Amino acid sequence: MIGKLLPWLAAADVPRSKSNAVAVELTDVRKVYLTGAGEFVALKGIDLLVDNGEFLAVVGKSGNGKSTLINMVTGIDRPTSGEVWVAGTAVHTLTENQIAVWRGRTVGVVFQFFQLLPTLTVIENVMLPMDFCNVYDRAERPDRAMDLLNLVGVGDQANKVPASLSGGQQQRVAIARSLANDPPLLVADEPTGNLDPRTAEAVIELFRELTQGGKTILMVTHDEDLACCASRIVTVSEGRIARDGYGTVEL
Amino acid sequence: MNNYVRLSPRWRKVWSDIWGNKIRTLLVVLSISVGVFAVGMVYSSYLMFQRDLNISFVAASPANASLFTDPFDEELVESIRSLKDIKAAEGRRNVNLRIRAGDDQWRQMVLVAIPDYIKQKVNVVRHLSGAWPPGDGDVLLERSSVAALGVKQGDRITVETSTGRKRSVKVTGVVYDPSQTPSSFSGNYYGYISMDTLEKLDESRQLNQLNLVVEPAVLKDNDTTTIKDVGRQSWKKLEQGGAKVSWMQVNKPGEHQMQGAINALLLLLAVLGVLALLLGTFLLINTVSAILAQQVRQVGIMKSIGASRDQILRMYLSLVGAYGILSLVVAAPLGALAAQAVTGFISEMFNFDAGGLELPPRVVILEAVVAVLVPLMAALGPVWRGTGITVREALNDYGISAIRTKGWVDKMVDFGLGRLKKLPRPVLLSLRNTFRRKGRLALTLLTLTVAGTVFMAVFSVRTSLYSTLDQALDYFHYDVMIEFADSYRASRIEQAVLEVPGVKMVECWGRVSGRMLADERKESETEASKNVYIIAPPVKTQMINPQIIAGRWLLPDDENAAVVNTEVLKDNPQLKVGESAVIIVGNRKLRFTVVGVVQGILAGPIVYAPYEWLAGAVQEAGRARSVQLVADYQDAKEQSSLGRSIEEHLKKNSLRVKNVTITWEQKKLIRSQFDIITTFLLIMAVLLAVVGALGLAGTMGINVLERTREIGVMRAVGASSLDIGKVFVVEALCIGLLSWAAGMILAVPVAVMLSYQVGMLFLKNPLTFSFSFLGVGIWLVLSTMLAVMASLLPAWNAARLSVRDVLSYE
Ligand SMILES: Nc1ncnc2c1ncn2[C@@H]1O[C@H](COP(=O)(O)OP(=O)(O)OP(=O)(O)O)[C@@H](O)[C@H]1O
Ligand SMILES: [Mg+2]
Repeated sequence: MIGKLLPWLAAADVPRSKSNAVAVELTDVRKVYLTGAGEFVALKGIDLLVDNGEFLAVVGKSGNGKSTLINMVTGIDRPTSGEVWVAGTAVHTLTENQIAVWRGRTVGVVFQFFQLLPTLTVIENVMLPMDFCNVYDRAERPDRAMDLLNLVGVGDQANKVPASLSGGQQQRVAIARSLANDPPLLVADEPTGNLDPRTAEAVIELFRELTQGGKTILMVTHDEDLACCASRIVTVSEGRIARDGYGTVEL
Repeated sequence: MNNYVRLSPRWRKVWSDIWGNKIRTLLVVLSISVGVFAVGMVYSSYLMFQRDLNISFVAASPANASLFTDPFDEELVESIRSLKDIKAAEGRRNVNLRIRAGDDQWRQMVLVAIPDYIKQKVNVVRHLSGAWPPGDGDVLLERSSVAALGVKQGDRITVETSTGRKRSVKVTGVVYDPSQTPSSFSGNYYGYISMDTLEKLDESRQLNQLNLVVEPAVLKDNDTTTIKDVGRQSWKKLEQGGAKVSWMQVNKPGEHQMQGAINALLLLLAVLGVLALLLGTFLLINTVSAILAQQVRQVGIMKSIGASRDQILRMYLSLVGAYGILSLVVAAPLGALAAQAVTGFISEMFNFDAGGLELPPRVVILEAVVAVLVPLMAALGPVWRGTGITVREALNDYGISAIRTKGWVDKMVDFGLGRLKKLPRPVLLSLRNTFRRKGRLALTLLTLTVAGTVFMAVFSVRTSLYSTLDQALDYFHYDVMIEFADSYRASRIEQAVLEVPGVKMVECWGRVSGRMLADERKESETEASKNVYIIAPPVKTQMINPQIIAGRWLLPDDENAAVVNTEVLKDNPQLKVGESAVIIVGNRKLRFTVVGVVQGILAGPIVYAPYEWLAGAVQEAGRARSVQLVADYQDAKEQSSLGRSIEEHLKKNSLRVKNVTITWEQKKLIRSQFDIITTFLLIMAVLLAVVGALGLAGTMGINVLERTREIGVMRAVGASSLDIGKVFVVEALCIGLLSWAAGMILAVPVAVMLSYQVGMLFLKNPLTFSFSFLGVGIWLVLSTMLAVMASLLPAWNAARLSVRDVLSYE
């Protein structure tokens, strides 16, 4: 009703993306924070190319800019300069509102602290992105949400509220939610940071399966063993990419 | 799973925000309801009041003009009825006689005799219960006089006729006369009798009041010129018929005789409504901002999974809209009930019939606007800001607010707290918390301060009313006043009164009533005019102490000097000190020079003239019509019984007494009239105090909700429940005290303004202002108590939370 009354608010069309583009392309991305103590350069010119279907792990010491880097990709934060192309869309040119809509369809985000809505049940949490982005038929949504929950192995928890689930279960729900709109790209910031090693491994295994299904995954992690499971490892050090390689990396 | 198809997850979230957090919903609904309730109550009272007053008014078909005359025959009314432009004319007889009901106290009663009760057309007296019309030897009482007199149907009343004989009449019924001011308010009693009974009471079967209704077609709105014309023609007819007209009263068409007081009450109501709406809106802005602040993280999550700003905006505005509708459902019926109570109260005061409960569509529409649109507007700002937050900002919000660069307020607070180093740490924490959310603090303070200001101001108005009253009552230095039906030699009266034991001092006065003319022109004599009482005490009277406002009191050498009171001035604004005034007394035209103005409060219009001169002017030299005396005793009961024994004694001396007034009884009556106003003002104050308390409780509730995580941290580092509870109670106390101090300062000018207005509206005189420190004290106690109470529930809630609850809290 309010949407009809305030049509100017509802305008959030996202420019069409280029087809056949790479999954992620960062060129000379810099990020400068203004703090009380002056300027702080968190990213000092990052160039990064990620192909479709890659499973990329971002590692590095605490405070070196990992989160800042992947926040550029998800559009949660904006670069001070440089370009961010994700699946053919120039994210750095979009407005905040356009980013939200674009992200809902293109990027699945998984956080360290799960970030589920406390007042909704598990299945409702998973259905929420479909609702906001209005993808899939209304009647189809519950079944799809249920399928996703089964996929991540928490189908039996569907009608509980998040607070009554364990951390690992909540993280699985969060992953199911990030897959709700079937986005080509999944971005996770320390998704295993709050999980025990066994559960963490299961989550990573799930990610691998998803990359096999054609998704691109960016994951920040502190755990070197887990990072090794990725197809490519990027090390961030003091706002720069210090190392970028396939296979085992020393931390 | 079907219900997901009907209600999508985001609307389920809105629903669970409403239903899942009942305390918060209660808070919001309360703050919206306050405004809705107040607006609904005021507007419906206004409408119900207008409706009921109008119904009573129209049913009574009030006179446009009334002429008061010497007794005349009914045939004369017939000839006046045939005059052009007259729709209805009716005569009646008013006699003021002394009566004695159940107790053995003599009182004055207005006995009204109407020739035909069944065919009344003007100032209609309506039958309520018992006999109708009044039979021979019966009296019907006005409904407001029944309780005031303490009699019931079937009781007998003794009437003393003008010839001094005693007759007994029987109370056989109750009537309603909308044109009379209720007994409890006016101190008069009204009885209705037939012409036969009138004759039995030693009066002639004649009339002395003529009531006129002018053809509505010739009336131009509120214009009274036509009425005056018609009145003058009737005046001539009456005098041609041999009835001397003493005065004419012209009423503004459609205006109640107490319209001024009615407007004053309506004004107070409107002020109350607007204030409550304003305070309710402050509350609401606070609560909605807090809800948004609490949900920052959730907004961030929703944005991170693809919700656009307008979707979130819509969700929160719908949430607010839903709260609004809920409040409407709660507050609308309550408002209607309160309106009924208010209308009932006013109707008793002004003697009209309070009709049934009604909730007109207009009121509901206004309430809906207040319930839905006002909250939406209040919420728009916070919601707009809240939904504009970026995902990064939102998810960085860990529930313990980040330290921002400090503004000057913080620096001042820090400086102040730095000087109070000795304070225990939890108290310091409370004080710092108080100043943390400045916007919220400001709104809470504003709400409480406004409530406190009005509360204290209202108390000052009350004290001012009372000190005005004390001043007015200081006027009376005599304890008993006796008015005679005739004039007697002053020396004879004095001698007779002094024979009664217990009389300390006596003074005889001249006393006549007359009417003040607009000017000296001959035509003015038959114009509408206002009644005045001329009192002629000895120039050096010791029985009264009038407060001089302008000019001077009477001097021994004064001849035709007159001092008027402020009520005369209100009726006759043309009067000025040093200029002349013309008063018709009987068939004499007396010319005075106004030498002074004195304060007159609830005393009626009085003109003071030197005894010697007036007695000569009305050919009653050496004679008096009233005697005032000072008693030997202070005790009120003894003074009353002294009055009675003097009366008996005077009768034995064949001095005919018309009326005995005991001063303390008079004072009591005046006081009770003041109480009606002060009660109304007090109710107003209490309502505002409740709103203020709600505001504080709301803020404290929000503070606790918002700081749940912080409480958990405090718990984790070893704070006891008491420690945590204390933090919030101290914070609330701090807010309460701050608002008290601010309110006290603001209360002074507000009280001055309010008492001036109340004085002008109710007494037609500014009140003698006096600031109430009692009110300041009561509000101090009340605001501290309210603060503690308002914080107790939230504090208890906070103290109850376990570390686990709190740290997993979203
Ligand atoms: N909003 C901000 N304002 C100022 N400085 C910031 C802000 N956000 C991050 N930084 C700084 O940028 C640097 C990089 O932060 P970032 O969060 O990317 O680190 P990280 O590599 O993710 O660390 P961790 O492994 O601990 O999560 C840090 O030094 C941090 O202090
Ligand atoms: Mg990080």
